[in-house]
Amino acid sequence: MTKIIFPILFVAFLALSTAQDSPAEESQRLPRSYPGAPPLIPHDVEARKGLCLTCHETGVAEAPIVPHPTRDPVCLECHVGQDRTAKEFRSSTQPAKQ
Amino acid sequence: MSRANLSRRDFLRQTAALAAASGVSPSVFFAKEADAEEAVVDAWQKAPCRFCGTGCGVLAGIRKGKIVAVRGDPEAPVNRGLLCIKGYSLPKILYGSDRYTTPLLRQGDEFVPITWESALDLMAAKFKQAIEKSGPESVGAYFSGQSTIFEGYAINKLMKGGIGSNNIEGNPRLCMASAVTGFYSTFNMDEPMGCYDDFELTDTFFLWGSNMAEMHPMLYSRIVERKRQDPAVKIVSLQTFTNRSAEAPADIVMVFKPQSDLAIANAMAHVVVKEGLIDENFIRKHVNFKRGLTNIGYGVEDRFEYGGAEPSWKTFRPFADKGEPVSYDDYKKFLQTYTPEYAEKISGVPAQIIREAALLFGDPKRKAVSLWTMGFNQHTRGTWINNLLYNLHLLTGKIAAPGNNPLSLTGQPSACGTTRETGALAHLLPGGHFVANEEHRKEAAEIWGVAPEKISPKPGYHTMELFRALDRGDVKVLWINTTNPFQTLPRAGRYRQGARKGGERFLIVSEVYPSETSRYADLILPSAMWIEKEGMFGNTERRTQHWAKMVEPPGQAKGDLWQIVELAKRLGLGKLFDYGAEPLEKSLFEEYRKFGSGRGKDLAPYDVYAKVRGGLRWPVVDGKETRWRYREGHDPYVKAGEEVRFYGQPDGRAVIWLRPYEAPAEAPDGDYPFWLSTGRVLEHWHTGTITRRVPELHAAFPFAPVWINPDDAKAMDVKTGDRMRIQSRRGEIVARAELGGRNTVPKGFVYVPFFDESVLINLVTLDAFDPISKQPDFKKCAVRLEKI
Repeated sequence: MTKIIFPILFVAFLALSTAQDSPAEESQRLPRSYPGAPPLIPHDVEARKGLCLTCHETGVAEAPIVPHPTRDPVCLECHVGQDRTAKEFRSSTQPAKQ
Repeated sequence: MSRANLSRRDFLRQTAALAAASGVSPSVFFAKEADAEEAVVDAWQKAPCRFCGTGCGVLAGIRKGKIVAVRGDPEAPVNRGLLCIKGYSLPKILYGSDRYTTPLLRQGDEFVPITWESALDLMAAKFKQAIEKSGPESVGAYFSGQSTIFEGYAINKLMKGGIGSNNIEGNPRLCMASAVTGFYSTFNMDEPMGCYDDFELTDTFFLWGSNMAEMHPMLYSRIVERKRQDPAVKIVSLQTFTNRSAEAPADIVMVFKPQSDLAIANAMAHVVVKEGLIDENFIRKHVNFKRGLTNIGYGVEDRFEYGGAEPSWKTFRPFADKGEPVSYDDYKKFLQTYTPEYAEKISGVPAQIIREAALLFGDPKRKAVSLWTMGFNQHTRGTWINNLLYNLHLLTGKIAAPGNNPLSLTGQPSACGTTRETGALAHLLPGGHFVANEEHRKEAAEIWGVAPEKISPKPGYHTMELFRALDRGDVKVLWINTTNPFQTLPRAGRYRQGARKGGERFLIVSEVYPSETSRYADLILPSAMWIEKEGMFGNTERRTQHWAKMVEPPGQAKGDLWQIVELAKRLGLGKLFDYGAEPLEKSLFEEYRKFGSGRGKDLAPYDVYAKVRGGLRWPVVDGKETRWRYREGHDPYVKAGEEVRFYGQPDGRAVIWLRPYEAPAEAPDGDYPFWLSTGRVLEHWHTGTITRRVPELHAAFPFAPVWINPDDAKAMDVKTGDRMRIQSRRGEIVARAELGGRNTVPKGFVYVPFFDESVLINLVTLDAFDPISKQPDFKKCAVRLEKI
């Protein structure tokens, strides 16, 4: 059953994500935090929730093939998406007043 | 292999060997990654992760005096070579561009750098002045479940044995106090009987309001792996909204109304008893029944006392409970009300699903493991709901046995090891001792080499009362260390204002980065963090782990233990930490061990922890750790023939408590029609002080939204990204609406994470707490929403 549903959903989410973001930009691999750190996800994660293996099991559309496919339900524990519009975080250092 | 230092080749060989030897370890995949890409380091050294209570083992890759990479330690039994994204981000937490590198003193409207010498002299002068003028109860220390065991033990000794003030608290009061009172009231001894090994030995998991997929990721991945290998494994997930732990592979999902877990747990017990799924033999031998006080209040008033006119610390063991013995029949009579249909009315969960879950729990052919965290503990009836969960395990005898256990998960890396075990709370002494107990005070005084009269019999202010006392002016000098209360306290507006009312108040904050709390300080002390100092943590499953100092802190930043000792010296109490030529950390630990030895809390010698990869679970007796407490053959404290003995209780019997459903402190009404719940997200640690400095984590979750139900959003014409005002009777904030993403909240319910200081949701929350544990409820209050 899921084998039939997934490709249908895949088309749907691809359409959805294309509307949200530029696919050319999405295909870029992001640099890892350091050698050996888990790869970051260069596309919207939440909209494709539960569908990681649809592309990453066999490498659809040049998606990197996951070396550990059985860990599917927990992909997002180690691999996270990136909002590239986020500015560097800085706390306020202003002393709180009386 | 016990050597802490590993060469790169050792590491790869070990990982590969493990992968080859093990058909089940997740590390089998990790080995390929390791071969493909490898950071260039001088040495890999062992340490526990800095973040949650799971206690994952990491290998820190050090190169030229800096940490440049981490690995999940393949030898660590907790995480077996894997880490979550926070763990993998550890190397960068040290190197944010705005680290504090020098002490700073408030002068007018700015913080001005000063020397350590003047900072410590000033701090000591303020302490002395307040103590002389207003007594030792006018000073306090508020530490952390992220403090090391050395630091927790040292500040406790300084405050209680040196200064003579029991005003030492820690943020674990906000995160696990109800778990502790749950343990004490049921077993009369703190901390879990089971351990993570239960995950591979059980076949039924119950997640009670815990979103483990985000908050304890490595443990959740073990559950998922267990289920993948054996489809007969069932996962029951009880949540107040649909989160990542309420999706596949969970088998039964119950989304219940806030507070109604009390009714659901009793209804499950009702079904278990009615269907005869109880273990009569176990109950007869190992269980007593008790009824406690009811209508115990919510602690929203200053100087709140529960349990009658006499302050609780005088009349019975503080922060435990008063109970009268009742019979098994009384308990059955009590349960009659709690039919699944009755629970459905309160919880909104169909009676049939409650029944199904109860039958699964009681099934004699199945084993059961229960897991919970803040959903149970941050609850105005937190102690009760912990008790009710234990009831289910005791009724069915599914406790203190391999694969059958309730396992209270901790949020912080050393809430157990530091705050609970070293007794760094207002009512405790180290090793499960109490300030209200004369014998315990004598014993502590002897170990500390101080006069017994020095230790006050009166518990200090618990956390909420400590900050209320600061607001009132009863507490003058407060040292806040490794925690961020002006972002995390419920109803933070009152306590933020209170801290800056002036007068004799003087606030010292030890921090690594600017935070909402350091902004409120008079004096900021720059601290060393994690591997910039030596440390030990104790995790959820009683596992104590050690790490060595590996890199230097930046600038003039100093470890918190050094800060404690320097303060002690200036207060004329330096002898408390004078161990001659012996290393301080080792000496403190060896002294601390005396408190628990022979009392079921035996710790191994310091040198053992310094060597052992992955640590050991106490009690450690004759060099052996204990996986299952209270069970003959596993726990050295249970004698041959006893089978099971809950030896914290004088008669060896655990207590089944009659705990009714009682209403929450505040519920939605016409003026404030929405429930507000708060919590964390996977990518950020607590208030984000550390994790938001890691670019990858910040970009993964740059701001805190308000999750709102799509139907509610439609009714208010709100789309994802719209700005919403969230207002309660205490305060208001603005957050951007989120209709989708990882969570789906029910109608009439919103969820806001607390990590984002520009979405300071604790200005809105309510400072009601569990009268028994004094732990506030961050999960329930009433708000209204408005699109702006």
